[in-house]
Amino acid sequence: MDNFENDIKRDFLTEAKDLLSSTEACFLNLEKSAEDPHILNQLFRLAHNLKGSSGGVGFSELADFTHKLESLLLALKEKKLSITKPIIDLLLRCNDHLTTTIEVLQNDLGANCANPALSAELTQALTSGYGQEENPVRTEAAPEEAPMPILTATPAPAKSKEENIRVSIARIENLLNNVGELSILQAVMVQQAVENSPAISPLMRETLASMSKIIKETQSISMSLRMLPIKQTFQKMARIVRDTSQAIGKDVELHLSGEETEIDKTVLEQIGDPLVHIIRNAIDHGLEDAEGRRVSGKSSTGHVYLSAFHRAGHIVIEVRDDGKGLDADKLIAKAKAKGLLDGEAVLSPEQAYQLIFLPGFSTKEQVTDLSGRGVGMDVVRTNITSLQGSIEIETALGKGTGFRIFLPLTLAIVDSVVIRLGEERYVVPLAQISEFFRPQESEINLVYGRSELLTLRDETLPVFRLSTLLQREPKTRNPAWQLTSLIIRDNSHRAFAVLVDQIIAQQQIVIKPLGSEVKGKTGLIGSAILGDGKPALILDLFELTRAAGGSDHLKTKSYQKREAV
Amino acid sequence: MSTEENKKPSKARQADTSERYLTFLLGKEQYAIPLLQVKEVIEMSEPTPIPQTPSYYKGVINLRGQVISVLDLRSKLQLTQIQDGPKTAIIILDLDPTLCLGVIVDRINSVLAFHPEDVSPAPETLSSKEQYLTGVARRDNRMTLILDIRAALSIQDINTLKNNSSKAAA
Repeated sequence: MDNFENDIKRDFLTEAKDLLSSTEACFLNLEKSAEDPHILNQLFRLAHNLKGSSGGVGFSELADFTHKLESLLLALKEKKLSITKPIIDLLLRCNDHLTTTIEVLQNDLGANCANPALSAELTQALTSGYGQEENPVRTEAAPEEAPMPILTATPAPAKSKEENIRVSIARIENLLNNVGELSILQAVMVQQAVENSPAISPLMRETLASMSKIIKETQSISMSLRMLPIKQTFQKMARIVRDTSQAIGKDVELHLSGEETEIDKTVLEQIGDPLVHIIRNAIDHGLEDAEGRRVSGKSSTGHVYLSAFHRAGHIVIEVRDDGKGLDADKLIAKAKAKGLLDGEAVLSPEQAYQLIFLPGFSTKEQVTDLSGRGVGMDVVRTNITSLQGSIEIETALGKGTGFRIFLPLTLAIVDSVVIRLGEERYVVPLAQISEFFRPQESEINLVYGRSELLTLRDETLPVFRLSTLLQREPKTRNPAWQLTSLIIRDNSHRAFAVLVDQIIAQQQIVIKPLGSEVKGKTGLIGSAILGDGKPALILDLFELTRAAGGSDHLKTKSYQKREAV
Repeated sequence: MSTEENKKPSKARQADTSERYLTFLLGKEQYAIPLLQVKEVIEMSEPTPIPQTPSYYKGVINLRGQVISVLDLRSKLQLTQIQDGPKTAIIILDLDPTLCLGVIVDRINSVLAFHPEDVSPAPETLSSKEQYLTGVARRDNRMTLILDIRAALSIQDINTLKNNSSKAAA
């Protein structure tokens, strides 16, 4: 009986979480178009639903709280109170409170999450004209005259009649695993068929071909199950923009586009923090204050554009501001002052922009609460790299800065090369490698009797042997193997070479997680199952070289030339 | 693999408190672990080694699409290792949901049910090996050592292994 009750409570919490995810956007819209009756109606319905069902399953505190919230919304709807900034603030804080309450309750059904202070404020708002002394929030369009377009633009329940079911992510993972396995088996079978081709009947060959097609299709369908629209993350950013701009007193408008773009769930979860950071930076560092904007002849309101779109097999998320842009000279001076760059180094503007990704670099003179704690863009880039993505800067002095984040369509499949170290095979994601180069042994020079250097065009690169990085010296080496160096460029385009015995193949691989007992090991991303069914480890060459003292080369002058990848 | 249950025990015996064990050989000694800790038994397949791991850590294998770690129980318990042969097998353990491990043993014997009365406590000696034993069962003049597989593999150590190695590198 008890279990049954708890089940109902849990179901309610999951539903409530869904409901709340849409309320924040509504509150924020309310600020823009305060008198739009549609938004208030929608909010009122949400609060009402929440009140009814929370009381029904026995969360009385939650029910009391939502009851007050509902009354406030009713007062607003009936125009007994006008919508002012303090009121919207209060509503947003109520929304936060509800969200945290539900999270807490999900972990502990019996938790006490009352927030008497907030309830009191709600009561006060209802009784004594709280926040009414301020002017009502300005509205952009005359809403009474234009209710029709707003109505059609809102994703109202009358949308398409698509039916949905809720499926746990574990089941999808399980399905993906099996589909991945299926495609590996299929690859083995096709290989067998090619090797024994005279012995294979035409019917068999045909069946195999259509089977391959269906498996491929199945794979892409099952991959798409993990994809979610980026909308929710974007809505969170709307809140970040509002809070940040208020905190530092800049007037900022956020423009969203491409909210329907779908992204792998894992990527979506991990892209939030880097995005928050970039957006805060854009508002805090990128945009000038109102005075500065007037001087440079811009509107006093700053603009931040957040968009998502597809390009060339990648998903691109772009954060653009119309602020002052990056100043290459200032960046170089800063880096030199901080000792991050040699005094005599000469950098092109593009190279200078990359400096912001160095650990310990922060361009603003004054450290604020919001950004500039030195744990900045280097962490952003690391996070993005760990998602197999990359980040690009486009900036024009006085016009603004754009950050473009390129992400893979899915994390489950990665373009890679299979390499050899003795009889062992390893996998390296192609995204880590900027080029391949087959050096003669004579081209590798010994320095100080221990470090090795390689000259590639006009660059001198430190050399790491994979056998040293992994501390595994192969017993035998086949003379037919061709020693190859993988050229790696790190965040600041410093390059180094990793020597491997041979490149075996370039192929798409499915990343399989390693067990918790070896997961955290330095330099390992995971494992992949190769065509013969044997697992191989996926290496992170950045981490491996860093661990092996790659950072000693931090100040080497391999800046001379920046190679396009 | 012969994981079929020995059908000799009478019904009365099965119904009561006897527990079923999977017995296997390490060298010449017969060991047993509770059957509930066993997910499955598979043929030996050569694991892919992982650099910078202890010698008893043999590497990873592909178990129908899942990549799992394999440890050598013989070298973990510091037993003399006999050559891998056709009887060498991997026991896939079912210890907890986050930890999926396989252990290499020399040969799988059978599933036996031991009554608590058949099992005597492990002898109290100073040898470290015996700390892994929860008891000794005797049947038909054959001794079976009942293994505490968690202790034998030092699961705690395995979990901290990665933390140490990643800290050292940082």
